[in-house]
Amino acid sequence: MLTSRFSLISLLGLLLLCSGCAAKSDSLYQQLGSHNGVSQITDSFLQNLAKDPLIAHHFEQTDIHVFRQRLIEHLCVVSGGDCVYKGESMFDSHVGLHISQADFDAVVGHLIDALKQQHIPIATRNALLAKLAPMYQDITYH
Amino acid sequence: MQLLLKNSLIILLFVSSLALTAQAGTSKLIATGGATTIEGAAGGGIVPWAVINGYASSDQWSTTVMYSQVGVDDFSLSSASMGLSFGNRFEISYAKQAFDLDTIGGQLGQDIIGIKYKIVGELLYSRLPQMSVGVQYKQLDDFALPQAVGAKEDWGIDIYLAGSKVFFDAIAGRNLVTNLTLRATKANQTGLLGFGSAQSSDYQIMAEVSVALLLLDNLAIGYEYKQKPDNLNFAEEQDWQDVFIGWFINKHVSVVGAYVDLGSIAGLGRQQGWYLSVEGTL
Repeated sequence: MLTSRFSLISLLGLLLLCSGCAAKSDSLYQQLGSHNGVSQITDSFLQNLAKDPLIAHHFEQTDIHVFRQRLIEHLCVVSGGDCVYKGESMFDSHVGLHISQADFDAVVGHLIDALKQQHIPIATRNALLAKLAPMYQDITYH
Repeated sequence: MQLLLKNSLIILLFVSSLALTAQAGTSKLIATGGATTIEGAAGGGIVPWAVINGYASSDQWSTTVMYSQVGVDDFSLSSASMGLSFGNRFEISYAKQAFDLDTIGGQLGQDIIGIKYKIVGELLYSRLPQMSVGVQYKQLDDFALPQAVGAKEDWGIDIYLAGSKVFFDAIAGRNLVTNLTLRATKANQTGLLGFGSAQSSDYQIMAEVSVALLLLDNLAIGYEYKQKPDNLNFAEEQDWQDVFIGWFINKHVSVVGAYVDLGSIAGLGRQQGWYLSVEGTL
């Protein structure tokens, strides 16, 4: 019983490793679909944010076209693409906005949904989240 | 103590109903509230994690109800619990356990009231693990059998410190949840066989670990290990372990199944079997 349990887990592990290794040679930016992919992810993400009353009010004073462009640049830079981010730092751009943990959690959820809507594989999604999650400190509660 | 227990339950029910009418929040990501342990705290099946139950984030409420059943060779344990959380910071829980001694005959049971408070860190967002402290007050239904086998008290308090951390993209692109809990306890078989004994009535620090790999956003496989004291002379008490699969169907319903190894209980060796729990969250 014990042996069959552990061989099942090893098999699962091997399967996972093999499904993961195929995509590793590309940069994260390429895995997200480069410029077109990141633009589409950004558009899905903005649509999801607009539908959420908890979040939408934060954007009342925002020029969405400029915001969209900065977001595309930011995702490009974060994922290792050859872009220049022309916006303010994460800290400066969120000062005075009073972003709570609930806001941040909801936004992360909308980003995950946008990545799923654009059929980004789970390993790529998690790799991007690994790079974005630590920004929590710069974005919330100030 | 019985009165305190009843009052606490009434307060819990009252606050839960308030929470239900005041629109529970669900901002947290799926699976980040964990499952519910057989003792009522959020965690795996047997190890409490630093996570706060339900899906409430800051300034939101959440309530959780759970029913679980464990069936091993000579015993079965059912556990029903309800929990309430606020702000992804506080968790209060109540669990009622019934332990059937299928081979020996008879039934034991206990009530567990738990409180957990998140001290520091964030499960997903900070380098520092999320750290929580918890207290569990446990009261046995009937002390006759535990007393006969050498237990000293029919109630006890466990205090634990838990750390939990998610590592994104950890193994084959999947997120890994890791947990370490240190528990100060006098409980014999988690309290079902009473607390302490004539030989050993001091608190002991026990380590509990749990790891889970999220194969999908809402599907986890994992392993848990729970170290336990060995206070009673009449029979050796061993550590517990299990291998589990957790399916978080949506933010309102989750199911956990496990293969459990509870070691020797009350002199009956190799207690292995299954565990199933169903959970509802608002």
